[in-house]
Amino acid sequence: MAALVAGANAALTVENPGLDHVVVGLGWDSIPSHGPSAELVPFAVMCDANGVAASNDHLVFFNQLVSADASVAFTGDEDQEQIDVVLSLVPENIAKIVFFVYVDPDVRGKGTFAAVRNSHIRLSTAENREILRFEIPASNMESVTAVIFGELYRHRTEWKFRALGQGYTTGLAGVAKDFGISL
Amino acid sequence: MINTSPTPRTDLPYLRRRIKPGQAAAAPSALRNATAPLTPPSSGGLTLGRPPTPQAQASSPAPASTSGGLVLGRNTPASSVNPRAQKLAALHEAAKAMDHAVQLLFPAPGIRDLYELNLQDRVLRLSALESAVGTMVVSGSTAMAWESVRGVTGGADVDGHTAGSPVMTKGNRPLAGYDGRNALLTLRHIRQLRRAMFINRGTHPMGVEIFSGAQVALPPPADGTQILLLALRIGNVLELRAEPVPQGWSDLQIWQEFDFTMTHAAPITSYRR
Repeated sequence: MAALVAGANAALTVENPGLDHVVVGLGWDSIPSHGPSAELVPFAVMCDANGVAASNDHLVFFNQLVSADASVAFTGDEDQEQIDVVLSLVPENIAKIVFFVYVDPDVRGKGTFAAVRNSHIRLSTAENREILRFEIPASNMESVTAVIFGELYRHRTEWKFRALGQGYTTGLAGVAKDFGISL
Repeated sequence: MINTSPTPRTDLPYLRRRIKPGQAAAAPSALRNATAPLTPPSSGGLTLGRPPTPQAQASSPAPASTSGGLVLGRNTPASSVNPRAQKLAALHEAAKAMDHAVQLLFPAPGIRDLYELNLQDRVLRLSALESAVGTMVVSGSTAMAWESVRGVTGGADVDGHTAGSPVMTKGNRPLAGYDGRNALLTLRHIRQLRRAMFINRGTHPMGVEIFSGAQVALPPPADGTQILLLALRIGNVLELRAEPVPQGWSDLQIWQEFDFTMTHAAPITSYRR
């Protein structure tokens, strides 16, 4: 199992020959609250060669569980956030799959990542063998409302993973703007 | 003989798992890949023997399907060899069923296509993303009612009166309820909602606004008719409908007409378990 730092990448399929089914786990701890709390939502965007969402059918999250091509599926529930990717099923026009988490923009208090600790993204096989892990650096998260955890991307005929940990203060709207998601 | 048992026959797995030949051929490749190779019978007749062990399955390639014959006995589908693949296959099936439910709907405009929901334009439908982000704010309503997928039903009015049961979400917010003079739906937990209804007894229109800022209005009562807003979750989309009812109807009559029967919350005890 490899631990990555922000900006680092890993040759996923080169180092794991035969790997086809990748389980992307997104995890964090929230400081418990009796009052309204920030609700984090994991999200996957399948991007084309221009780096934007191929369409709104290429988004995978709790209310759209499977991509139109069935290659990416949200298998998490409220306690376990996991997204399955079957690499061989990802259409050729998809250049990368970006994984991010946003704080749900509830009008009664949007919340931030300030109350979130130990955010991480881990990739494992379908048999739950952990391949790599990236712990999101927990600095200056008070105003952060969305974080791109990492991305799977094509490199020639192989797949690689890049750890990012890029925070947004503009939440889902900011991420949507960058990745061409139609809200 | 008719089975009148109120409980399903869970002791007959083959009735639930049998795959018709046509279905197997038409199944999406993703589904086939998501599950481990099936080991269908080599003949078209009944197979009563035990299935091969997982080790045997792993060491020998699955024979090509020659028939879709019925398989009896404790014939565990090979997909169970990999629990992850089995879970994924179940998810794909659920998603397919949800997609099918949405595909059955007649076409409807989106929230950006309409300025007003009224007696002419009575329905619009939000996208899966619009239905799931942030809060749906309904301004100008005087009362609302909600029903969760568990059948938990409640109501509230703008003056703070409540009836039935609230539905609390993981974020310690109600799924539906008033915040000041605005009625809100917590879209992060839209999958808990079955439907909600908003009543306007005022003289001003109601307005609906979603996270993107897109809005639609509903006219105030006029000519003896009041227009309700019904929000129905169908699969993964939220449908908004304008429903006319006589202006003289009370909230109770409206609840009855739309079959909102308030549920009771069980009293909380002090025992810790």
